[in-house]
Amino acid sequence: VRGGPEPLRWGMFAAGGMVAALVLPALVLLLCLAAPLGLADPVPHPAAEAVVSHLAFRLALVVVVPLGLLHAAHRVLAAFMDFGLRPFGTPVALVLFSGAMAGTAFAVWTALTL
Amino acid sequence: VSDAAPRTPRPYVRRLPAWWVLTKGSWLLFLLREITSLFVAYVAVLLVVYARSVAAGPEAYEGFVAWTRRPGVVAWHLVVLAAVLWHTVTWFVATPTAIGRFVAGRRVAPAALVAGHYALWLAVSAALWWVLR
Repeated sequence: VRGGPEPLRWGMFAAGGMVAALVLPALVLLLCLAAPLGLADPVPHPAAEAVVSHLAFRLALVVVVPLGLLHAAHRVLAAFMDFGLRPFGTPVALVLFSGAMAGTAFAVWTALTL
Repeated sequence: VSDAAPRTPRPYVRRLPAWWVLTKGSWLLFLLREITSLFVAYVAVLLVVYARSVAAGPEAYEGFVAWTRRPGVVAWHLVVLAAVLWHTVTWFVATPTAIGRFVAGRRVAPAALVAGHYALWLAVSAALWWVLR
């Protein structure tokens, strides 16, 4: 990539931000709040299993999770820079992006074994 | 002509106190927007945890559902929902600046671009509701 990893990092940040903006509010509402708040009946296990084991869900998992984590890593790193922690940029970046990579591996492994 | 080696330009860094972000309302909103990324990461991981609990069988899935019903967890997830909604709103507001005023070579009003993203968001949310319910 021309100019090192910087354009790639920004590209992942933008893609992750857009995917997160489109799907995350609905996911939080559906998976975490709809049934406890009485907005909908709880999803029985066989129905949930049918969704989760579908190829489309696995593909969504390996798109949404890595992009969301890379988006967060990029944004937190930028915030660290803004708070005058520029000298620690490299170790902080290493920790953040290692975390994003670990989460990505977790998502890919899960998608392959569902 | 001087003999001195040309100096490499250094980026100008404005000196501010560490709490600069708290000194102005608009900066505080900026901080809140940046913090939403932590909630984005949380939901990403939670999605994997949910999928694994479903795949692990009815008992594990019931455990996940029971956990989401605990009052403290419900309160926490309301905070998470507010944060990801704030992410969505601030992200769409920035699209005219980020994407530009031209879409497929045609001039688009900034408000139309933002409205288009909201329409897409509603369609995606409705589709997710239909699939996951």
